[in-house]
Amino acid sequence: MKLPILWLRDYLDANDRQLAEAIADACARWELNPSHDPAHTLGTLFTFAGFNCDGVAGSGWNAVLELDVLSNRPDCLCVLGLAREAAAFLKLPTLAPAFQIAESGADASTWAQMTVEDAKTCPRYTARVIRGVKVGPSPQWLQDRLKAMGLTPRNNIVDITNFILFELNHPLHAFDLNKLAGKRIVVRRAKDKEPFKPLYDELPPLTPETLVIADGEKPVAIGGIIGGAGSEVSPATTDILLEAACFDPASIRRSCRRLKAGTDSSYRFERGVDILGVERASARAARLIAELAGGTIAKGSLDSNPHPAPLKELSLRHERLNALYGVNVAPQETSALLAALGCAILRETAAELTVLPPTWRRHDLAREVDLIEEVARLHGYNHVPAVTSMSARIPPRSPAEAAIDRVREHFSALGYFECTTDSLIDPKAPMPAVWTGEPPLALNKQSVLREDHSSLRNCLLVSLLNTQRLNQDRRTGIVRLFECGKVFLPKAGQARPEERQVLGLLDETGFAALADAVRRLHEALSLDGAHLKLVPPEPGYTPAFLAPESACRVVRVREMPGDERAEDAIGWLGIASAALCKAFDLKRAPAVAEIHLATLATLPSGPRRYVPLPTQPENARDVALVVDESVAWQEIERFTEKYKNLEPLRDKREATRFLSVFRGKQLGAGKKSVAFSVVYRAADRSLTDEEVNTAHRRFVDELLKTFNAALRA
Amino acid sequence: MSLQDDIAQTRAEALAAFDAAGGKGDAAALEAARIKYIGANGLVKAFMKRLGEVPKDQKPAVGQALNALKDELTNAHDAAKSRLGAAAPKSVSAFDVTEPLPPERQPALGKLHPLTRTVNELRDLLRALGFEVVEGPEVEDERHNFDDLNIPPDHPSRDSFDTFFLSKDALLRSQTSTVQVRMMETRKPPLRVIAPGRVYRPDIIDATHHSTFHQVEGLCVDMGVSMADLKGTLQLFVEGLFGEGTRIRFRPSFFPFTEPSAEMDCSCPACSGIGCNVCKQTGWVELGGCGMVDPAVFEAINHARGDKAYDPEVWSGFAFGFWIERLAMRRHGITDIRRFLENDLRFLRQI
Repeated sequence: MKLPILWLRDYLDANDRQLAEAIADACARWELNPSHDPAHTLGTLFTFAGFNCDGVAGSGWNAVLELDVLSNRPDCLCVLGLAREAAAFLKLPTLAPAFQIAESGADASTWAQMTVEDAKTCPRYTARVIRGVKVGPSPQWLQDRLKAMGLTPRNNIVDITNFILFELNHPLHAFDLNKLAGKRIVVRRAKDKEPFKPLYDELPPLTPETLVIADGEKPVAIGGIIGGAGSEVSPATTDILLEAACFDPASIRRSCRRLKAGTDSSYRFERGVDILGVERASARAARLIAELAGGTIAKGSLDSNPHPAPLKELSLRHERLNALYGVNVAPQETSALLAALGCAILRETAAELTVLPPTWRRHDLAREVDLIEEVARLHGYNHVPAVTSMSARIPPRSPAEAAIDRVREHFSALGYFECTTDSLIDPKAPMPAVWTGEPPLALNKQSVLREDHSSLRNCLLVSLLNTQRLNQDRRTGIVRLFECGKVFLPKAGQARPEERQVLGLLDETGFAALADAVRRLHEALSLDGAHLKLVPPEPGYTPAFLAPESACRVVRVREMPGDERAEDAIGWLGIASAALCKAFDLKRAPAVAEIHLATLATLPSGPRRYVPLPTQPENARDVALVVDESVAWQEIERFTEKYKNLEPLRDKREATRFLSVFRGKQLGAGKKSVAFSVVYRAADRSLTDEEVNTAHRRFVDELLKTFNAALRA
Repeated sequence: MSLQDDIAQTRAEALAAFDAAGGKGDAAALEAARIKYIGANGLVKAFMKRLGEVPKDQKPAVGQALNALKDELTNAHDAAKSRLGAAAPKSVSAFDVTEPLPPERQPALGKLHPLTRTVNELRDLLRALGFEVVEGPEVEDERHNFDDLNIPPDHPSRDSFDTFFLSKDALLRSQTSTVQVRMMETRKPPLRVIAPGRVYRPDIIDATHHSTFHQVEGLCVDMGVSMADLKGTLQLFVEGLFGEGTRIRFRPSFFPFTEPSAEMDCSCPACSGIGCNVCKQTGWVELGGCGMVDPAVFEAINHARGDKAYDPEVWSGFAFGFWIERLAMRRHGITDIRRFLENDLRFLRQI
């Protein structure tokens, strides 16, 4: 909203010196630094009154301020509204515009008729008739004011309606009465595709959702938005029908969307104009028309709703004000501030104040807290002390929060970069069925801004592959990524999907590194009695997004009392399938994984129990076992761990240590050598070599028998 | 000459050579002497091989003498070398501080995303002020995203142009304030929570706008909470974030779910409020919005709960919200918001 200071001063009762002093006083009161230029200082004051000053054009009393008027203050979309604010914070008296008119001759209803068919969309419609006007250019002062607002002056009548719009926040429309068929106004819905030519631009065809102002035959304006060509005031016009009305904000907004139109007028009706201010606006315009264009104002006006709902009284408790605001404001100051805004002070007691809000604020001054805000705002937020005596407790991290923190630390420590990708994805991208085979949830068509951001992802993999591709194109180096994010999985019969917190991983350095990092997650999470393992899926259950030979289920293993274990599949790991790599045009097939994070957060985790360190030295023995390729390491490990419990000299706390796997010609086809090490130790004495060797030989014999293996030569 | 004689003569020569090299600070000469006398193929080693010449009964003694000689010469060499170190700085060494490790030997170094680091920092500060981290769904219904936040039924933000809708009653939350509602629905006051999270608005994506971005929302409900508590809490917070002496100020504003409402600014951390490019010479930077919880929100919560747990005559509260991207952009001087969700590794490594 532009605010020309010259225009503002029409309503402030202060000469230059008084205004400058008031500005300086207000600055001091609000503890603000004045600028060298009073216009800039005034802009700052408006900012701290809640109307952010975005810019100042010019300087001194000729400057124009650019102010943000927030959506709750439509009454300040006009110069008079902002003048009331200025008067309140500058503590200056206001000068009200003149509304008195001299009516004469026959009643308005003699000259024109009016019907409102849709009172919901048009809660009030009034029309005045002014006859015998002389259309011509406006006087200089009026032209100057409109130009300061960025408007081009047209003729005295149109300029006056525009002037009222900017003075009182009330859009008006003047019709040439003699061009209205039947000298009638009918406020009604448009007929489908009913012809209408706006004053300027083109509009899409009308529909019955649009409210029009029609004459006896056809639409002559779109209510609250734009006038039509043909009925407008022209140099030949002598008689005028002056519309002052109120329209339902939501309907105006919908019509503007539909018609892709927006005017100064619709902007104001969308935000709400004062239904009780209609007569004032109409009278003010009529007065100016009679003054500047001559003519006589017919008696009274046509009014569809002469008695809108009256205003309600409001009370403000001083104690409540001080408790919320945190500053003690003197009761006299409170009532002075509210009075300056136009509130009528009805009653005052020691405890509270009762007021009647001004008509233009019936919507935003409706509760006690609304008055509290007004007093606080104009008293000055800078007076709020920055103190708190609130007691605090230190809330612990939730298991989920702690788990995600640790997962992030783990992977970044292992050289993975965390990425954060958009949850809105392109539904046309190939969609790996990690969690669901269904297509991703789509946004409503109307909500879609871009097709490539029109669906909610149901896996992280698609985002990670996109990120790999971007980095491949930009040649940024080896890509190793992880993301902790939500995926959205449709739930049958429910409007809202399941939001699953998952961990996505992508590693160009290959399967082994990623598999190892995932297996070691239990270390990072300090899991007790639980760990992760990777298991090839059952035949026939390999997902299409992974290369078949590499696909693994990520399995969470929980040790239960006794020998029991609970195993749950919580994700996938493997090399991205060739088809997926081709679809994303990837040069390197990455190792990828996606894991349900919440299932990790629920596991029993740290602090881990301390196990006293052994006092005796360890006796480690290595084994290099030549076995068939078909024998998995896990089988050997399971055997040696089980055997541990049978061998008294084995240290039960020391796990079997994997060393390496070797394949080569010497071993023969289909064979591999698996090397590992086991630890012998007694709790209370040093073992002799002989004891250990004997025990180890027994163990190795069992191993060789069990796996039909040989020791590596 | 007998072996014993050779040993004696070599001992004298070697000691002299080490001493001379050490005295002159001549590293090359010292190294040459080391190789000549006590190196792997040096004279002492050669003497060891000649032990066979020695009569059997003398062997142990000569052997011991040789060992003693080796120790003595090694000590002499080390002594000379340490004098060398003191006399002249090393020119070439295994401890070169300027030479980087070859790439293949550098341990991989990953990083957390800048948005994560920003959220973590806010979270840690606010936890110290008693705020617990909570979460809420990103796909919301109208009640949590609008109704119970006192946003009127015909408010423009409810249009499908201003909020992403999935269906009639499923939408992507446009603010983390939804979590306020969910917390109050399920917990009784007093309450002090923050909700970091992702929000969505149909904005055209450009250098300063994105349709997906992040906020941290804070909510405190207690007895007798005032705007002074709000300002005091935020004052402690900005001092933790930007350092002591950082000031905070409020400008009146409007949000449907708070009243009174304010925009919060803090004195520019880059120039301490003097005026610089970061704060566009104003000395202040915007942090986000805040205000006192609107009683209409409490009433809506009571209605949803079916009790009077949040009686606005008994409880009051404040809420505040930060835009994570904006904070991170200002902190790192990032000029394009799109970088955050793009994940160019060069960006992730740099920031």
